[in-house]
Amino acid sequence: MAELGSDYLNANYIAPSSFSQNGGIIQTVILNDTTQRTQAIAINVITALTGLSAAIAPKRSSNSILIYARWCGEGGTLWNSVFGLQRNGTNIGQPAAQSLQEAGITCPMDTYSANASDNSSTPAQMNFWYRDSPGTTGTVTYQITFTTSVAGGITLATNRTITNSNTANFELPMSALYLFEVSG
Amino acid sequence: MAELGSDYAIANGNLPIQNLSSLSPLYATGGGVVQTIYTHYTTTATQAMTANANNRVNNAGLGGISITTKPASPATGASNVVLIYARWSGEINNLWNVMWGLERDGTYLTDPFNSPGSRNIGVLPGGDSYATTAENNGSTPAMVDFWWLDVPPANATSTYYITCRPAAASTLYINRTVTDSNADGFERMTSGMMVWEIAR
Repeated sequence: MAELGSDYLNANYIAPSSFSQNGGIIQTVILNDTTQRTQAIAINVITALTGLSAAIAPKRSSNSILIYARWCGEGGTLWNSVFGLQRNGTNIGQPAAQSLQEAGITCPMDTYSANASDNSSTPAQMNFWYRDSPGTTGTVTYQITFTTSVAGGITLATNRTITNSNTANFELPMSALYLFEVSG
Repeated sequence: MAELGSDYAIANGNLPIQNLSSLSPLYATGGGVVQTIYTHYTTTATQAMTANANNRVNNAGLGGISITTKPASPATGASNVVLIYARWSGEINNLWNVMWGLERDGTYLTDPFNSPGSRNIGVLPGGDSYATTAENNGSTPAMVDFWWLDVPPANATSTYYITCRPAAASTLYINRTVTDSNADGFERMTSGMMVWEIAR
């Protein structure tokens, strides 16, 4: 039995027997996270971020999962940090790193340039796409991770600034985690 | 009549081929994802960048991505479109004077300005993770990512590359910081490119 991917839309001019179905989107899981929270992050520990996880059960073990991850918030000394991804608690998509370096899929971007980093009202953000091949039809859970090398660790504020005052320059952004099952 | 899109697959899961083979050409074909290609780059690399030129980033740390598109639609004669996602992580001196873009097989895609003069152009600049009056060019990672919509030749292979256009000759550091010491505070990251072919 064939699985319906979006590329099947072209079946009108390609014989079904020779049809390539690699790449169609089979199912989508959307997590739009607006909950404002803070989380203590220890130094040099890859930490799964609370609330930023989503689960999907692939319809075929040969299908892959396309992941879009976005975080917005604030944290101290973010230039010494990276974001990454876990599948069922295992880090995926990581680069090779020397023993003492932080490794992650990407780094955050700040919105402020001044003499010293503002750790109060200045939102930052990161986002990335990644394609994973979990090789199962069982439920897999993806979670955004964060790592810092700041001595003593930091408090990471998600979907809010650190001070989070009720005034106009304390922004409330949102984070997201989207999963797309891709055929083939 | 229901519209046949990806959500149809969500609602129905697996469908037998015979249910689809009799579909009319008038059945909606626009907007579906025909194929998805993603390449994840984890190798660290450096590459020399020429000033004021659209340098093709083609080092092993961040090479191009190729796609062979489907034939043009016999119903409309239209080629499919592709959505390209490009992401670089790393470091480069004077990030604020660097513009990023995209090329397809030697053709620069992202020059939207008719009369830029001597200005450096591109899709967008990168973003830094450090906030001071003087940029740190040693241990501070930066990144850029963007989407671009293109119409490549139908039924042909096209290769896309990220382009980097600095105002001064520079070394581009890919998936690493400049100094890259084996110490915390010297991060390593990844880059990635993705292509979605979208039916028309």
